[in-house]
Amino acid sequence: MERAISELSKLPGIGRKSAQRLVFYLLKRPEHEVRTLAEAIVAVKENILFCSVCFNITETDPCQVCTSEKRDREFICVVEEANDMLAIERTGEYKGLYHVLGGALSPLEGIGPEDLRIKELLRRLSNDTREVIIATNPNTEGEATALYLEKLIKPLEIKMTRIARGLPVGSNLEYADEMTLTRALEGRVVI
Amino acid sequence: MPQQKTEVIVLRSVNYSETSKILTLYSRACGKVSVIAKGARNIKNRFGGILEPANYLEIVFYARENRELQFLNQAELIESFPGTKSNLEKTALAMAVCELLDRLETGQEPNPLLFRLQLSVLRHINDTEESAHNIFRAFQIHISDIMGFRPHFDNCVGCRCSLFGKVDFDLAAGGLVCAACKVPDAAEIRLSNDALESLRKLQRVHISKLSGLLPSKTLQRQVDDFLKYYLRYHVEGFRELKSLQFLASISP
Repeated sequence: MERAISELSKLPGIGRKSAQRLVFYLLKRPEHEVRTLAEAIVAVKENILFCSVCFNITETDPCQVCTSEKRDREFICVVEEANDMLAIERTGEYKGLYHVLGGALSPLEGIGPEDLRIKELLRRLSNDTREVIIATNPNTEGEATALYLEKLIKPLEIKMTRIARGLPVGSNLEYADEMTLTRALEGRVVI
Repeated sequence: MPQQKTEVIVLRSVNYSETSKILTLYSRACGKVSVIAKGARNIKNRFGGILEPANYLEIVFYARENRELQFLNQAELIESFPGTKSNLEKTALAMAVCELLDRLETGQEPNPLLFRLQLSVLRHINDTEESAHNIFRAFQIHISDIMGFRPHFDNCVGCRCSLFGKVDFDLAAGGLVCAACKVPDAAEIRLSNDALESLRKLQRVHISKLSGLLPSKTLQRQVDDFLKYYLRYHVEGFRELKSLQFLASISP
């Protein structure tokens, strides 16, 4: 039991007390349920790999998005992590390809271009690429990454766009901070 | 629990748990403070997107003595330095300013001079149309002065005699030394006449008037190496700034 608590408390956001609660919960569950959970965790490590084209997490290489005939190959959406790609996929609005950088440039953490899959992105760009959409986070690291990619891709004369930054749907204008409102005004569209 | 209202500059922002952030701030009223901003990563959080490094804010936090991490209650943006955020080199240098201040043991005592210096440097990095490197170099010299280890670039710190040509700078003494005043085995850096003249200007000329100084890469390297060794000698546990390593990695 001590071993299970100690292993679970290594997970992000799980302290020793939460780990203890989880172990007690598992003790009360039927054995087959616990076994299924354990097998699922092992399977994640054994079967999940990175797509060699877009670096999304996948069970087959290349991933389903990269091999799909239905995706528009002229568009590449650049995201920081695979989670961001899943968030965009949930919208059902985007039909192009992706490229997962594996993080963002961070001056304070010393994360430079060599630490991300930027060379791999440049290698993917071809005459068929009509637009590169930068969908990095709207924070210091995400903006730095977007600026760096702009410096590299602009000279290739490929259209580059950045996803809009501004007010979240359902929020109130009067409570928005100045930075968000400025971005919203910059990114206004004709109606 | 007393509420404290103060102006701050965000030095560092680290994600914590699912939705929160832990911020290291340099404040006008109480020196360096660490606060937790609960829910700051939620898309509709009350702080918006203002808790980013190098932003100048006014905050309200619950100050409790003997607690290392305070609770952030309110935050209002004063300046966000958009000219910096839209330029990669300026971003890296503004981050280097914040990183250097974060590494120094400034404590929780207010230091209005240090706060004003940081704010002024961030404003000049934002506004300059030239390279902002010299502003950061001058910042390193001025911060040494405020922290109590001002480097002396005039006469010999031992006998006050005038020095010409290539000169030796004694790191422990914090100044130039002539042959007669040299201490055997002391940590020294040899400076060329041009490097010495540049360091003098960085110390004396206003940071808004530094463009054109240090025209050659060799001279820039000499001055940068001097500043790195000088800070390393005087600041305990000082390591090379990650922001400067980052800047080197993106430079052609």
